[in-house]
Amino acid sequence: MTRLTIDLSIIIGGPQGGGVESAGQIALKVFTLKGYNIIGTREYHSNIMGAHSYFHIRASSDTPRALRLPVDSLVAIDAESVLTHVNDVAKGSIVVYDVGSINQDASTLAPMEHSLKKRLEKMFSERGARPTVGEAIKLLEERGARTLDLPLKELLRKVSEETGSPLASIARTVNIMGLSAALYALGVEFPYIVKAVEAQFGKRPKILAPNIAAARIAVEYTHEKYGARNPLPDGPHKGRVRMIVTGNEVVAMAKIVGGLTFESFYPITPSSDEAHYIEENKYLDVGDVFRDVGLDKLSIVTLQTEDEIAAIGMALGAALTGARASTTTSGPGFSLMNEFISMAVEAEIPIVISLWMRAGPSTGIATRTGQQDLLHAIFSGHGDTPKIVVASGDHVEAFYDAIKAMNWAEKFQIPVIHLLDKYLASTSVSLDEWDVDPSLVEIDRGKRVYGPVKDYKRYEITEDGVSPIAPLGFNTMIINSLEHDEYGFVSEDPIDREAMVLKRVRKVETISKSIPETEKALLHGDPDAKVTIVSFGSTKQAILSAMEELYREGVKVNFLQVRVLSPFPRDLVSKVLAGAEKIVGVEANATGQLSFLIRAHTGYSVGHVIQKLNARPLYDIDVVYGVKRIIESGVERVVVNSGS
Amino acid sequence: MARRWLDYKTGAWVQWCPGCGDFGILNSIYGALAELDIDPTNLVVVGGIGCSSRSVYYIKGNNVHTIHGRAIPIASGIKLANPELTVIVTGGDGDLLGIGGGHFTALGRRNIDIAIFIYDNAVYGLTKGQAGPTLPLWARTKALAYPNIQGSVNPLLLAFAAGYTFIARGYAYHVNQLKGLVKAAIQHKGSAVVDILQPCPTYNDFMTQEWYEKRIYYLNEEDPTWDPVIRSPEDMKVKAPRILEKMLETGDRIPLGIFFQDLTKDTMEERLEKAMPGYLRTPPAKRPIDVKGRITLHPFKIFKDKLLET
Amino acid sequence: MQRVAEVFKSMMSLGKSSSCSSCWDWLPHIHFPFVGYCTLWGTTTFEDYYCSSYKLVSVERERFYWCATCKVRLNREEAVSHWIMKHRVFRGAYVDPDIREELYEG
Repeated sequence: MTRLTIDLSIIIGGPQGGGVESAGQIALKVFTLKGYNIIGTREYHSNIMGAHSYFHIRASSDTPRALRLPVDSLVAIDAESVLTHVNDVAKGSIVVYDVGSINQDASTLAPMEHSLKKRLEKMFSERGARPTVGEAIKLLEERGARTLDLPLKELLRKVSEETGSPLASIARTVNIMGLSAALYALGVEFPYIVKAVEAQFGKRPKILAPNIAAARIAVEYTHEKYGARNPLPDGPHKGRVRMIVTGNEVVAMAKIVGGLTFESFYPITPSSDEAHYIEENKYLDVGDVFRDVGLDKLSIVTLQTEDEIAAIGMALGAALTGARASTTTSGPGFSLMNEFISMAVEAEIPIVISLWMRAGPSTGIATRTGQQDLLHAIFSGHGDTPKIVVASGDHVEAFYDAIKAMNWAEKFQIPVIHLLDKYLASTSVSLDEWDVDPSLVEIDRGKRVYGPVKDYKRYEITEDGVSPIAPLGFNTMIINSLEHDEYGFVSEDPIDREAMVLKRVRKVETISKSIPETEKALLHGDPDAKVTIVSFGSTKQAILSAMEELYREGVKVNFLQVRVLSPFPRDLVSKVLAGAEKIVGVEANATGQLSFLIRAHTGYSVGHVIQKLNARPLYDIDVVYGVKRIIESGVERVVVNSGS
Repeated sequence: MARRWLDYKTGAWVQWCPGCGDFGILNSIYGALAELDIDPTNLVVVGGIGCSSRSVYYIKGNNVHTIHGRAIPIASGIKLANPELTVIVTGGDGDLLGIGGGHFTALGRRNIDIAIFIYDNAVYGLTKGQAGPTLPLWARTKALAYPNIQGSVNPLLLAFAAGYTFIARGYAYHVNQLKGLVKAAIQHKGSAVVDILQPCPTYNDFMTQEWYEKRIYYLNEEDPTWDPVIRSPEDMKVKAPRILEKMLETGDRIPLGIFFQDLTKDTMEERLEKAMPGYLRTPPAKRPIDVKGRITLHPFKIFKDKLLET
Repeated sequence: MQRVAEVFKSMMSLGKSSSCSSCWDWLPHIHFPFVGYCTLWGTTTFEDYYCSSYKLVSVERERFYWCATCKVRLNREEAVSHWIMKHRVFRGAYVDPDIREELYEG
């Protein structure tokens, strides 16, 4: 008997602040409760309220590695959502919309982007029609979608009359109706919807009651309209405790369990939610874990500073006292941190910078994803500034990398830049207890000396380039951003200078030797495949998912995921690329930053690139399309562009 | 056994120009530290970049020579991570009020227990005498091709507006009086600033020793009833107008001394202790993070808000 | 609160042209303007509700207004021009009190 594979994708659209977030969270919970693995991301404009946003979810009995397009259901309660996602919908999918929005025309939708309006005008004029919700629904029906017209106003009136309470949160109630209708049409039983809504609002009865009523009324309406649905079978992951976390949260968790005691930050999307989660948990009840040392609460100093310069500066100050310290930022903030990164190298101060990349240059698109800061991270800081740059491919990697980054920073007394991005930041996944097991990582603080040391030399010349590090407060010494002698005293002496430069560079060799090969780069798939994809960061799961699809179609590829980008794992990468007939780079940047690094370090040129430049997440269909195009036509560059 | 000023002197060659006001300031700091009997292993002097920031080499401590304008963030991180350390910042007017002006303002809001000593000579000495942020409008020093067309900032008023709880002004060549101000600033619980006027004989031929000494006078000498200490909100209402009047006094007469000391505000360390009782006992520098190298916390045990039972 | 709502409902009838949707005291929801908030009764109502306290919205006063058609706040001069274009102009919009939980860092 073969196991039935269930794989469902949903987009829930709506204006920012219009209840999409709650609906998305509830959808994630529904499918998790049903026993499925989930992945879900939020896509939104850099706007406080009103502009279009959406939550994109995929639930699967297997591991949903990446988001999937087209989707099996579109919950589009407002006109802009119907029109924006008209091309994101699969045949046979369920589209839920408000019957009251039917006459709305794209041209009258104030928040909609001008360019999108023009594209819609053109698309519909080719059909001799206006871009209205009604016409979009007609088109969707022609393409095989099943549409469900919710009479939103009447249903909401019913909720209001039934619960007898004023609807404080109208948008939320409306979205829960839309979502519940879609879920029911997909075969989710009503009790699961109730359970998920309770999990979301359980502690707030005033919000809970109208939302449960809204869900029921929408389900009843759908039942009348569609009749009884075939129930969705339970997935394989039932009967245990699971966690639903975003990338921001999983990194925050890793820092907390990994011993962070100080995080300073300046608000910047998409990094702030990491700092906020640490702040929420900065005074943590830990029971008797630390009883031997007389602690039942763990405190973490989290501080919002006046700018990113101060954010990294304070973290460096804290690190000098022996605290495990980090900061978190995105491209623009990282630009401001550059001078301090250079100081951290010269003065040999441990520091972790979580760098959540977003679409640049400059302010670019603050709320959208990209991989444009790889070279910025590697070459940050003036002068020769060796450092560690590690890029995580998914949530699980991000968790372990965040802990290891803190170890490496202290062990090698060097800045560690943990490369992440907006896609990981705002993507939720379901995890199990064994996915995030911190006991697999030890805490390693390197050559740390507490207490007075006779004739202490902070910058003692050693074979491995790493000197014993004493926190401030035990000896007298100089921590120096200027070139110095072994004691830290400023020195422009040519011998001192050369010795110190070489000492700092020797650390790079030490780092390369200390980090296990498997943590530096990973070859996924058949080692003998003729096509090798090379990539880094959050493209990992979309590529793995695409490989499965390509394999089904008879196309054999393997995938070299470069995890540690600095120091670059030259030999490892060279070895893999030596056997490849075709090398295909996959990157969300236009300048081929990883290709550049590979060429510079190994001499191999990446002959083909698949680039994602529209600031939307990379989808597996992008990779499948790109690889096939390259194999068929031999073209050098394929720009892929799915996503709304 | 009390310490002597020599206990704080290092073996480093002091590389300032002859006649530089920095010597006076350095001697005042030595004296203050000795009288306060501060253990050098518990002392942290943080400098930015500039002539004055080099003080970190001349005072025995756990000192940090940072980058231009950024001494305050480093010092703040140090103090918040280990409040037991005595943390002072030495920097010039350009470092602390020019490039580092944003951090200077932010420290006042936080009231972290740090003492800031502004070596205020109104010029950028190390880079050949460009105009500093405290150089008066239209002043022309010998390094300037034309008179200064940018106005000057008033460090005392800036500190007052920012929320510093100790604000004083001293004069570099009055080593004894300055020692008193340095001592009071270090002793003060909260963010303290001493703006120290000093001639730069090499580059500032306008604000010379003679120029200063014609103008300066001490607040408490002119008015023996001068009382800058704020002990209650009422005090603030009564005393603020006179304090501000004295802070505004410039030109022919320049007052020196303690202008303002506010005892009514919590330090940030106290605020953190209130928010997280136990912080002072195990601050970030001292809090255990592992049990024999092992991580003993599991996310599923502590972040229960993210869990769901299926 | 429930009693207030009941009394209020008993006074309402549907289908009148002079309904909430053109009433001075009514704030349409920012995103779903067929429902809104009656500032007089302190409760949620729908655009087609009616009560005896109905007062026609106008743009005479010097103040800010809300155009539900354009989803934008207007000064009086702008409000007059939107009014002439037959947009749905109100004296304000209703925003869910817990909207913060639905917003993202941007």
